[in-house]
Amino acid sequence: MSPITRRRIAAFRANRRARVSLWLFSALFVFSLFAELVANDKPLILKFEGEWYLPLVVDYPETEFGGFLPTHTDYLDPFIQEQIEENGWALWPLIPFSYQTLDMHMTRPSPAAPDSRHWLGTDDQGRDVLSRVIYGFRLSVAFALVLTAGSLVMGVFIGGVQGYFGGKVDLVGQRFTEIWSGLPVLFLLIILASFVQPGFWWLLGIMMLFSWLGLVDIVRAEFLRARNLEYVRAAKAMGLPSHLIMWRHVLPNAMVATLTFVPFLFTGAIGTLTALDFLGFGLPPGSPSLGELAAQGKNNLHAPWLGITAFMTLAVMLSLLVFIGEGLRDAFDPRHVQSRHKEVTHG
Amino acid sequence: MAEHSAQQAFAPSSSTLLDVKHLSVGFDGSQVVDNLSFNVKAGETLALVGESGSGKSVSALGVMNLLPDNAQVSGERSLAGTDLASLKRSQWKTILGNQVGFVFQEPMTSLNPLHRVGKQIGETLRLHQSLTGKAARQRARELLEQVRLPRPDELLDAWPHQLSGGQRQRVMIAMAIANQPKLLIADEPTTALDVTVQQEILALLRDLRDQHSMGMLFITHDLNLVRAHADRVCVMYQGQQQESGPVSQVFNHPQSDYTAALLAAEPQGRPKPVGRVQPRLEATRLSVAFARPRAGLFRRQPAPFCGRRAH
Ligand SMILES: Nc1ncnc2c1ncn2[C@@H]1O[C@H](COP(=O)(O)OP(=O)(O)OP(=O)(O)O)[C@@H](O)[C@H]1O
Ligand SMILES: [Mg+2]
Repeated sequence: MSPITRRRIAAFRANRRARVSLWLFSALFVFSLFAELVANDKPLILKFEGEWYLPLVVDYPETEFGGFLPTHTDYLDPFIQEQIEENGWALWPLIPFSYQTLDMHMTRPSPAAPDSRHWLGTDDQGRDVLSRVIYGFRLSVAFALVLTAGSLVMGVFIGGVQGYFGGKVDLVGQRFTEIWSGLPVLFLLIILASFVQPGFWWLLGIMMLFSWLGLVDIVRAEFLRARNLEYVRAAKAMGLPSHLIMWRHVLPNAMVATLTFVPFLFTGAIGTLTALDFLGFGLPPGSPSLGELAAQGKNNLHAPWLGITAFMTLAVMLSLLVFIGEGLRDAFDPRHVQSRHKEVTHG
Repeated sequence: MAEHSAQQAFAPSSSTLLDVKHLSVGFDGSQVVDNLSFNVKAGETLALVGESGSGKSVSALGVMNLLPDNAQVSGERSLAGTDLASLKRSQWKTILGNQVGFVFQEPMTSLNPLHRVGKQIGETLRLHQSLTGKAARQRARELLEQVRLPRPDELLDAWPHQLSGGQRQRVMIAMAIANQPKLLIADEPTTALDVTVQQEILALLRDLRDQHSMGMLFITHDLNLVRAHADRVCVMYQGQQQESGPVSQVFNHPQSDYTAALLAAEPQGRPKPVGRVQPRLEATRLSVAFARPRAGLFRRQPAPFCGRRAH
C-alpha cells in the first residue's frame, strides 16, 4: 500500500461521523443479506414426529404435517401450527413473514397499525411492513451497487479514451455524450414499460445506459491533464503501449477524482430507483421496494406508519451514504490531510 | 581524447545511427526550432548546447515523436536506416525504450509517484526483454548498482518521493540504459548531481558507449562537460543551428559570433574574497528526521537509503 493510500485511510478514520456511518451502513447491509433467515414465513428448523425438516430448503406438502391437501404447506395456518406444537417444535425467524406473505389469519382489516404481531403494521394488501423494509433495503443497495460498478467501468472507459487520445476522438465523443444526455430517460422507461414488464435487470440495463454520463466529464478532464505529465511522457519514451500507459500511469491518478464521486453516484442510484417505483415504472408489482411503500403511504394517509416508515428508512439510508461520501471526499482532498511524518528538531 | 574520437567521427564510416536533416518544430504556428540538421554515429557522443529556451529539449523530443499533439514536426529523420517520420504508432514501440533510451530533463516529475522504483524499472524490462519476477528484480538491482546508487535493495522498494533529485535522476538513467539501447538521448542528465557523482555517471555512460558502440546525444549547457565528454558539438541559439563540428575545432576556432560569445562568457579566475559582513541566515545544530515504518510482527524495519546513520 502506498504511503498516500495509508494517509487517506487514516484521514477517513479520523472523521468520526464518516467512520460510524460506514460501520452502521455495512452492518445494516450485511444484516439485510440474511433477510431470509430474519424475516420468513417458514420455520428455520422443524421437528415433527421425531423427524427433522428444513422448510427453508425443501418444499414439503401439507400432508406431511397432518393436513388434508397435498399442496405447499402454509406454516402460518393455525391448524398446522397446532399440529406442529403437539407433535414436535419449530424454530421461527424473528419476523414470521416474508416480504410477499399475505397475512390471511389476521383479524383486523389492512392496512393494520403496528402491534405485537406486525411491528411496523401491514400495508394495504396485508403484508408485513418491517419485512418489506428489510428486503427492500437489500434490493435497493444491490441495485445501486451493480449500477454504480457498471457506470464506473463505462464512464472511466469512455472518458479515459476521450481524454487520453484527445483530438477527433474527443470531439466526436463529446458531441455524442451531449446528444445522449439529452435523451429523456423517464420517457424511455415509460415506453419500455408498455411492451415489456421491466424487471431488475431490465431497469439496471436502461439506467446503466445513462448513468455513466455523470462520470465522463471528470474522467476525461483527468486524463487530458495526465497525458501531458512528465512521467506519462517518460512511459511513452519507454515504448509502453497506450493501453498500459492508461491503465498503470494515468488511471491511478484519475481514480482519485472519480472515487470521490462514487458515493454520490450510489445515492443517486438509490434515489432514482425509489422514484421510479413510486411512480409505478420501476420494479414489477410484488417486489419489496421502498418507493412502492412510499406510494402506499401517499395513498393511505389514514395509515401514517406506511409513509413514516418509508421516509425514515430512506432518510437514514441516504444520510449514512452522504456522510460516508463526505468522509471519502475529505480523505482524498490533499488539503485535509496533515502530514505528520516530518519533524524538525533542534540538536 | 576528444581529438582522437573526432577523427574517428570524420572517417568516412557508414555507421550513422541517427540522421536528422532540416528539422523544424512549431507550436500552434510559432516556430521553435528552425532547420536543424545533425547526426549521431555509433560509438560517439554529440553534444547539443545552447542557452535555456533555445530548443534543445524540443528538438530531441520532436525527433522521437514525444511532443504533445499541438506540435508540428517536419524534416527528415532516420534511425539506423529506418525513416522515423513515416513510422506508425505500433512500430514506435519497438524503437522507444528498446533501441533508443531517453533520460528526461526533469528528474522530479519523470517518475510516477504511485509506483515503487523497482516496479518502474521492471516495467521496461518486462516490455522489451520479457523479464519478470525475480529475474527482473535482479536486473533492476544491477542497474541501480551501475548508476552508483547506495543500498539498491531498499531502493527497489522505495517510493519516488523518498528519493532526492539526484537519486531520481540516476533511477531515470538506469531505466534508460536498461535495454542497452543503440542510441541514448540524455537531456541534461547530471544537472541534479554533485561533481563527483556527475563524473562517475558520465564515465559510466562513456563505458557503455564504448562497450556497445552506443551513440549518444548529450544535451547540456555546461561547456566543461562538452569539452571532456563529447566528440562533436552542435550549438543552437533561438531555435537555429549556429555551428557544428568536432569539439576541438569549435572550441578553438569558433565560426559564429554566438559561439564565440558563449565561450567568452565562461567564468574565469576566482571570486573575490568576501569581507567581514554580518551573516544573514544562520543554522546551528539543525537536524531533520523522517518517521519510518515501524518494525512489526510481520515486517522488519527497512534500512534508510542514505549512507547516514538513522536516529
Ligand atoms: N508545449 C509547448 N508549447 C509551446 N511552446 C513550447 C512547448 N514546449 C516548449 N516550448 C517552447 O520551445 C522553446 C524551446 O524549449 P526547450 O524546452 O527546447 O528549451 P531548452 O533548450 O531545452 O532549454 P533548457 O536548457 O532550459 O532546458 C521555448 O521557447 C519554449 O517556450
Ligand atoms: Mg531542456
